[in-house]
Amino acid sequence: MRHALAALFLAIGLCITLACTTASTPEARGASAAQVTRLAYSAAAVTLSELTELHLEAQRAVTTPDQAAVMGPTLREGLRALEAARSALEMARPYLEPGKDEAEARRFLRDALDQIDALLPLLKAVGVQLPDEVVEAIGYLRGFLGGAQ
Amino acid sequence: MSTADALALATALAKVVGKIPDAVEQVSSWISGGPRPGDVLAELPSLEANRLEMARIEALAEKAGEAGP
Repeated sequence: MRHALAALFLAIGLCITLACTTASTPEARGASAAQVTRLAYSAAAVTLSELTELHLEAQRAVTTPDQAAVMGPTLREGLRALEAARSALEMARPYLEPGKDEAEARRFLRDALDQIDALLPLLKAVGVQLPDEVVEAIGYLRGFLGGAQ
Repeated sequence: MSTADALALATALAKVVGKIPDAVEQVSSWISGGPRPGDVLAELPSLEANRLEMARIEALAEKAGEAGP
């Protein structure tokens, strides 16, 4: 699945490039903008999948009552952030369909990104090393969606 | 978003999971009449395993509380 998603991302980027270089009408340009929003959704979904996996690994590393007492509250807070981010993406999804309000989709994507931003320090606090690529992807999403720096 | 921005975004995201040749293959397929890559949206992750682990951790933490200082 991860390979397919990687293919999806770069392929969409290439499609956007093709659309931008060949678009001669406002409609065509609008279509490519909608496609970029769909890309951002997919990017946020994959980023969330990566963070969900990292959170799960941190949870599985907790094996003693003392560890659980110390790390439990942070992991619980992290789970809340994951759930909130997922919920925001679910809200965005209907607006990605043709003819729907793309601005609404971007609003929910920004909400999801805010939750992801809140999650990152929590993961670091329980010892998770965030891969550079994930951090970089979040940075690009932030730039695209205009989220908090 | 400019073309350069779009490419930078796509490249950065592809680096998250690697495998650029697959992407090229998918674009080739699209050009040959296959499905357009942008038509497919990534699926959201399930949080069920995280919820189950959380329950286990909280049960463990209770044991620490019972043992006392």
